[in-house]
Amino acid sequence: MRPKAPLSAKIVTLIAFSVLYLPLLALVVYSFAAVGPEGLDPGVVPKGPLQPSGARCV
Amino acid sequence: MGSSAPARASRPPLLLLLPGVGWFLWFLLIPLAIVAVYSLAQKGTYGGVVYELSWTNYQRAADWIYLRILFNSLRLAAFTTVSCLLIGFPMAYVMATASPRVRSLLLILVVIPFWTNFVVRAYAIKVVFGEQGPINQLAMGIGLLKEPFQFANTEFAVWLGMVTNYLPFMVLPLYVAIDKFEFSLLEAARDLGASPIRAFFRVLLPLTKQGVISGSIFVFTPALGEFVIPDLLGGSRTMLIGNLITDQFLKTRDWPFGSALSLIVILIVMASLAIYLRMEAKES
Repeated sequence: MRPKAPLSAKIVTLIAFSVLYLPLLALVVYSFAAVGPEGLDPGVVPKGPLQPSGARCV
Repeated sequence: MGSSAPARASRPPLLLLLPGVGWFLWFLLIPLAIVAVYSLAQKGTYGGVVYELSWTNYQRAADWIYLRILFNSLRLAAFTTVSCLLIGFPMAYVMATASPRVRSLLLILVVIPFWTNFVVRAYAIKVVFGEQGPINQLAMGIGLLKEPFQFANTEFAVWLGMVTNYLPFMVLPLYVAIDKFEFSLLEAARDLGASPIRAFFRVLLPLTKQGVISGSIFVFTPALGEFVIPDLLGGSRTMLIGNLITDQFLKTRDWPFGSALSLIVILIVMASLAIYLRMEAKES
C-alpha cells in the first residue's frame, strides 16, 4: 500500500506542470493570432493581403 | 569436448562488441583526440589551424576573464541541478504514489514537452514572461506591479529556461527510483517514532540516491555546456562557457582556443564525476 503524497508535494507538482505547459499553451494561442504592424501583438489582427514575408498590409 | 563447450559459451562474444566499440572509437575517441591536438595548435592568420604545438591556449584559458565565465557557468549549472532536484523530487513522489491511471497521465505530461523543439519552447518562455506577455500584463492589471518585470536578458530568464528544459531529465530517473522503493520502510520508520522529515532524510532519500545521482548527472552535464538557452533568453549580458566555445568556433574562428576550452569543460565534468564515485565507493 503506497502512502498519499503530501499536499505540499502536490502543490509543487501543479506549479511545475503549469510552468512547463504555460509557454506551450501560449504558443497555441499565438498560432491563431497574426503579427501586428509593430511586431508581436496578438491583439491586432490585420485584414490586409498577405505579403510574401508572411506579414499582412494594414 | 565436454569441458571446452561451456568455456566457449561463457566467453564474451567479441564480434557483438565490435559495433559499439567501433562507434565509440570513430565518433568519440578519435574526434576527442583531434580536439586534443587542435587545443595545442595555434590559430592561423585567416582562421585556420597552425600546428605549432604549445600550451598557450591553456595558459590563455587561465585568464581571469575566462575563469569568471567558467565559474558563472558552473554556478548556473549547479543551481539549475539543485532547482530541478528540489522541484523534481516532489513531482516524482506524487507520480509514484498516484493511482496507476493518474500515474500514466502524469508520465505522459512529463514527456509531452519533449515533442516541441526546445528553441521554440525557449521563445515561448520569452513571450509568456516578456514585458508584453500575459504574466506581466496580469500582474499589472491586478495592481501587483506598477512597471513590467524585466525578464528578457536576465540570469533569471536563463535559469527558468534551463530548469523547464531539463526538469524531465531529473523527474524520470527519480520516478524510477521512488517507484522501486519499498514504502513499508517509511511506515516502519514512522512507527519507530521518526518524524516525516527525519523519515525522508534517513530512509527515502538514501534509498533513492541512485535516482538523485542519475538525474543530477543528466541535468548538470548538458546544463554546463548549454549555449542556445543563454543566447535566446540571456542575450549578450549572459556569457556562459558554452557560448564562449561556440563563439570561438563560429565567430572568432579560433578553433585551437575553442578546443582547449572544450577539453577543460570535459575534464571538469569527468573530474567531478570521478571524485563523486570515489566518495561513493569509500562510503559503501
